[in-house]
Amino acid sequence: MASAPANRRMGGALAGVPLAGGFVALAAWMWLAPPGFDPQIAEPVMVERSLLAVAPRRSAMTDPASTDLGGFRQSCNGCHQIFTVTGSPPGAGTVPSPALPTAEVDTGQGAARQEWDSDTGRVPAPPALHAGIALRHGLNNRCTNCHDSKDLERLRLHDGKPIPYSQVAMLCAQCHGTVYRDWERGSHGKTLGAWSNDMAEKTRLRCSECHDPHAPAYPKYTPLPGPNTLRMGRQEATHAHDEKHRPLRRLLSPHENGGHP
Amino acid sequence: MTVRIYEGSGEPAGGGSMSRRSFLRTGTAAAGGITALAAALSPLRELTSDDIPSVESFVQKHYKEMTPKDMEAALARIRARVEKRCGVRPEIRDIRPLDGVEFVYALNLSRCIGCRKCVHACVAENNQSRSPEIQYIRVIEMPRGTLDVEQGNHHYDRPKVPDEGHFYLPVQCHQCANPPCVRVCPVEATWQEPDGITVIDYDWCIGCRYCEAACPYWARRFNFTQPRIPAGQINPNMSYLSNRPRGKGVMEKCHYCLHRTRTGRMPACLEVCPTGSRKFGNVLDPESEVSYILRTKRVFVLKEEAGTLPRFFYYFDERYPRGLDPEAIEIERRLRAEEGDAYGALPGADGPAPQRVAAARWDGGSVA
Ligand code: SF4
Ligand code: SF4
Repeated sequence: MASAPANRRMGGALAGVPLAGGFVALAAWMWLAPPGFDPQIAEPVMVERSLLAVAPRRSAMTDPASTDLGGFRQSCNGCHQIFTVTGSPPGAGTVPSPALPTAEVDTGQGAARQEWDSDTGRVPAPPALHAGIALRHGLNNRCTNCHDSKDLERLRLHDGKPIPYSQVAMLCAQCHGTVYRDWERGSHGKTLGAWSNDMAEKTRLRCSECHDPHAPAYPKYTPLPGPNTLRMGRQEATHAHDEKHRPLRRLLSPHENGGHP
Repeated sequence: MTVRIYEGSGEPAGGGSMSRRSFLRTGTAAAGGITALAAALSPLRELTSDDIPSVESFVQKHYKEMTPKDMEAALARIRARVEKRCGVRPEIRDIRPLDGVEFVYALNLSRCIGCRKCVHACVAENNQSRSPEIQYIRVIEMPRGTLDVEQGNHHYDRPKVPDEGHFYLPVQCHQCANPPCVRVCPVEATWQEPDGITVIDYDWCIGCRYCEAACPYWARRFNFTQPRIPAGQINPNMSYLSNRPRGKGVMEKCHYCLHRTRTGRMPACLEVCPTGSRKFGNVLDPESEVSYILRTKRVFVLKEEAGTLPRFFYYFDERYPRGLDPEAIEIERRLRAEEGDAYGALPGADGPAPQRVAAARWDGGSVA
């Protein structure tokens, strides 16, 4: 049987034809129509740099305090020399002034009557000059709990001692003892710059650099965009990507894409 | 005559019909093989000059075996590559750990509001790929009353945070004292430094992703493609082991901003946090903020049972979350009842909203 090996050789040689053809076809395919790797990557979500600013949340008040009056800084005492504020927390030792004014104040929406109540020390609705101040401080709803009733540009402690704005934490500490303790030791509040004073400069923010003293609770924030990574969730693939990855669907229901061919 | 139904026995197949069959078989197999080969080879088409290392970088030593001269040469190579690819000349150094320093992170869960500023500040600081997106920090929104992370959601998308019924749990690399990721790495491309930071030599990593699987906190991120960072967004302050640009196919993760913290500065995520929830420092210094927290606060670690001994601690304040303190709500209610308008007339001083009062009436467990 000499023909069997010859046949096999013949078969092997013939098999080489599709093999060689295959290689040629492969080369041509790779050259002409590269099978691109097309990961479904969404466009990057850009976050505005200004939203990532490292700065105190608010600038602490000026010392002495002032108010914004039609674009001009106006000293508090400019008005409050005329309109005295009376009424202090019980036991604070200040005596209400005997001459209580009942003032007509133009709030811009007509005159509003301001009744100053010496008995309770309750604060009436502040006129327009205080429009920038929304008092949401829980139980602490008396201006003179913190402001000196004689000199409203200054702060004073409950025992009557004046306190500079730079040491505002002492004023807050009168009620917020545990928070003050934590702030002193660093577990409340924010330290900027350095974790130790040895190598870089460390800044501790004061109460009023994060909290608005008139409304100390934090406002709600708009969260920055959530994760959209390959494994963290669905990629917002573009329409073109979608079609490329589902050629069958296009074939089967060509009208599904509306106006897109 | 026996018909053999398999090939390759070495026996003569015999007969003209067999030879045609074998021809068809070989042909089909060859065509199939070539198609498979083509499919397997197709990623090669994506190779760019960037993917093929130079001889010097190919023979570059492991970080720990580099002499100062080797390091200088490696840094020069990286400088040139970053300049070519990103168009900025980086300030790149190799910053070593400080003596007598072990870094610890603490995060106040009573304060975090879930704003995700830390996430994006980290991305900007550490030159993470913007697309596909790589982020080291995940902020998980958790229902109140549980610490089961399975119930959490990091895709929360609310117009405003925080939501009253949830708290927010940011997770990033915990820099474990017993790191499982280091143990599984087959080439020692990742290790723990003396200051407690687990680092990766991006030039030594082979991209096997074992470490990603080993991490119980899902802190490791893999570069499936060449990272893309838009022009002008590169942070040029870099170091070898931290935020220098990575390549395709390597692992990366949070490194406590070591290029900042080893020079005494605070991590980027801490400085941007608007609520001061994040605390960082040297736990070996008894006067540091983190030491005070560990001594005095209610502190817990995530997945304690994994035995990883994290250097990332969560803590609470001695307070109810805002608007949920039953005592404060009762005082407010009484005050409103007694003082009436005097309280209510103040602009904005409208007392607690009814739904907040309702939300406060949860008894330790479920929230309606
Ligand atoms: S920036 Fe601060 S408050 Fe915002 S999610 Fe991060 S840790 Fe929480
Ligand atoms: S992916 Fe890199 S760092 Fe992680 S285990 Fe593999 S070689 Fe090590």
